[in-house]
Amino acid sequence: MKTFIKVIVFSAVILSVYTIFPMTLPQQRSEPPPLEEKVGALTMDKFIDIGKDIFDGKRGGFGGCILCHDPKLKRAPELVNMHATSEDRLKDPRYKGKAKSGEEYLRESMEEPSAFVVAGFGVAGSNDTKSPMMEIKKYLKPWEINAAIAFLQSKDGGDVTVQPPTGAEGGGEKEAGAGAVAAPPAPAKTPQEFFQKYGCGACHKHEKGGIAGALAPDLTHIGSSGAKRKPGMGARDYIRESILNPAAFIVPGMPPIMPPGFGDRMTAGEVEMAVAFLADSK
Amino acid sequence: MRKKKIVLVILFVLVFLQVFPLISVSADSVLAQEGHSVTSVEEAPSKAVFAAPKLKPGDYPQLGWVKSREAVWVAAQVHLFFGAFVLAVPIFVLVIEGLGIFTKDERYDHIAHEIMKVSMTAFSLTALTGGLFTFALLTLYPDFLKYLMRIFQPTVIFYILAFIGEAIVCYTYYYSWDALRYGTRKWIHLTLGLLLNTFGMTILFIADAWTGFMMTPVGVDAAGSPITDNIWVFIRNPFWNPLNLHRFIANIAYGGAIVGAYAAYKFLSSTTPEEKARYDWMGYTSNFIAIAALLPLPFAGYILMAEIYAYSQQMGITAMGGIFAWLFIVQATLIGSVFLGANYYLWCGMGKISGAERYTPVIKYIAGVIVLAFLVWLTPHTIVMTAIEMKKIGGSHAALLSPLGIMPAKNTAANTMILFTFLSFFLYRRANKMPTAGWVGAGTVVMKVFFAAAWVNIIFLGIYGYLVPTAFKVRASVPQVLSTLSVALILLILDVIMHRKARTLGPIQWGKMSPRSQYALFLLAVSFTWLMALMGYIRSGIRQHWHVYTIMRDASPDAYTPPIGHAVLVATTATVIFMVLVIFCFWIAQLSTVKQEPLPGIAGASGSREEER
Repeated sequence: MKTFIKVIVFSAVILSVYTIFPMTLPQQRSEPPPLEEKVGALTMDKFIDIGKDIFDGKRGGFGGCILCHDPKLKRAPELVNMHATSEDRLKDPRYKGKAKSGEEYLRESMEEPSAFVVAGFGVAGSNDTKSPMMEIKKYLKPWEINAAIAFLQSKDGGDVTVQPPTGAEGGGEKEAGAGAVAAPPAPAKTPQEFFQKYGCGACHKHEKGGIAGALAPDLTHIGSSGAKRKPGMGARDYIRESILNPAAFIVPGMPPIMPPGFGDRMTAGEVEMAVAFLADSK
Repeated sequence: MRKKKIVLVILFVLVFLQVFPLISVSADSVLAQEGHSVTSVEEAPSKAVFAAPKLKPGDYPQLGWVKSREAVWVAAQVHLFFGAFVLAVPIFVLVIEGLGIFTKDERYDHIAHEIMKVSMTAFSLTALTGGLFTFALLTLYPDFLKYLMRIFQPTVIFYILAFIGEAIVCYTYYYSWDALRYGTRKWIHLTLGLLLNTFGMTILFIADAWTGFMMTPVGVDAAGSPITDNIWVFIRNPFWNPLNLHRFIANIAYGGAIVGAYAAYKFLSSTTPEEKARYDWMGYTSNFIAIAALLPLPFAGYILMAEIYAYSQQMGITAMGGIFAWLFIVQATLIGSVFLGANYYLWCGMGKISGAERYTPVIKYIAGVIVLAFLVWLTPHTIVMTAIEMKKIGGSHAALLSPLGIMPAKNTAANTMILFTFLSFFLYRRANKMPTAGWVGAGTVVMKVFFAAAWVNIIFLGIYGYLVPTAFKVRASVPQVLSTLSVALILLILDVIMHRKARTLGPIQWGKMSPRSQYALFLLAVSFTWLMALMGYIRSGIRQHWHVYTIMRDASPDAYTPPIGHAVLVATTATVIFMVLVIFCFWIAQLSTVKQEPLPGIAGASGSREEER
């Protein structure tokens, strides 16, 4: 019995050390992104950003166009210069679809992928008459498909022909409950209000901004340090990118904890106000 | 005979308990229930089309005060502990039994039989905890379980068959031990052991396919709908083989550690020199198996992480550079403890070997190198820090030490620890022998040069890793590993040849071990168990808020990633539960050897005792 007690005590001491040591380390709980998001009246820039997120698979529940349309993988046609390419496809003798414009062609490609299959990308044995692509309309709302179209048209310098949703069209669909319409968020009027509204102080610090978080980079002098983070990119562009797409550049030594959909909740005016304020923080 | 039947009936009930929920959810009932949330495809044209359910918090049943995630977490972990143990035991029992045939040393057979005996109750507890785990999943995460079982429906049948096969062969293997002990019959028994392992591996590989799919899903589209009818596509997901390899090796190390702890306890409780010698030898053999499996384990872990990075860089960054980074520091602490504990046991063991005193001066250098390598392994590169901490070290990285936190340094440290642990074992096994071959001098020089060259090569490649892009860093780890493995292989071969007709410097005095040394074996068992819980959490936790990564979201109130303190408390809880149950298994095994003295006046009692004698 004495041996048994000794062994138990020894094991308990080891287990206690193993348990207590991690408890002395920084404790951080990581929350999942919200299940529902509010899409109020969107600016065109935000609308395109959402389209880019869809393309990159950064919107929950959809893996992203890039899974197949990655030029390295060559699973599906590369989506470059789509503002022009989409018009060219309509002139292809093999085209038998119903689209009359580039925008309609892009929408048709997502809703009925087999309407036109780019040569060499059809299902094996179908002689390029059947597309292996899933029907995107099953996974994306109409306004999300429009956002993807807007991104595809704009990414290589083309004109965007689709319009952002109104509050009822976009927000209503995402809100829980039939007929609910998300009211456009009241824009923050000052940088301090901006920081408070979006909870930046939970992680970031900025002396003039009145926030003192300690988990993410200190933004007090981001106007200077931000200009050096990415070669060829100025402080303003870097800050804007960091807000809209936090994963684009992770500051060395910092955890990638900033939620990716943060920018989706802000108005364009708010983003630009924050960018201007932070870029001047030198 | 009646006892066997009862055991089989109980086992059948346990198996049924475990598999019934799987059958029930994988049948047509799922199709009938999928209307509201099992599929997001509004117009399902046929039964073949289904998607991962898009759940809401209300879709997760709550059982009063029971915390759903913790309940499933602990149940899964305890089941995995037992699963690992009972899958490992037949592997090394088979090896030990084979060694007994090969060396004609009866001790191997005895120890193999005893290990099987103490693990028999563990087989039943594996089934029981598996049943509880499945019940918890079915009750608390029904939609997730339904989806997973729909994807893997055909494999469930094989899982059930393998489980039944494992149970039947396991009991046959154990109870036929004495009946099939010698001659040709022994080979039949060995074949049964092989069959037992085949069933065990099948169970492991099927379960790994399910787990792997949750981590690295393939064969489904973005909504989780299968894009193929070929079940093999889901099974052979990118995570599957690395997980199979890692769990296979780790299970052996783990089983060795648990049996080593049993032997250590028996050693400490023994009162006769014979018993002490027997359990000392059992402890040594178990420790040897645990260490032999531990040495390649970091390489298997490396492959596992590389596969995670290859599948999703984001998941890799979450693990190594995000909120889980600190847990890898904790992991390094435990692995360091395990290596030091295992080496300490070997160094203590050298005290009972005549001739080992030749190597005593070397031990302090080995210890020094292992501790240094341990500290390098422990040094972090990227961790969460407070602003005050960052200010103190002058930035987000420590200028002097942070270079030791990246992979070239870690790989060098890991290989060095393995190399010098091998050296401890190498010295131990040759301690009481003096080679008499004419080429001993030259052979020894060759071995020393080879060892030194390999170590220099490992360090050189580590430094080289700082000078080249990441892709080359990763590639440099391969020759590092090959250096370590080739040293182990070539030195062992040379040593075996060199020690043919060697002169013995004295006997190994089995049983002449200090009680202190036995605590190293307890350290190994506790550390391995807790480490498994911790690493299991990291592996599962890096999916963050996904049941199936990027395919099926966890919408439950428990979808957050808990703080480190919360996670280790759960790991400790599971470890304590497992250890209590293991002690129960050992106690039951011990109880079977106890006979009550006959009470006076009981008819036939004395006769029975005479017969037994």
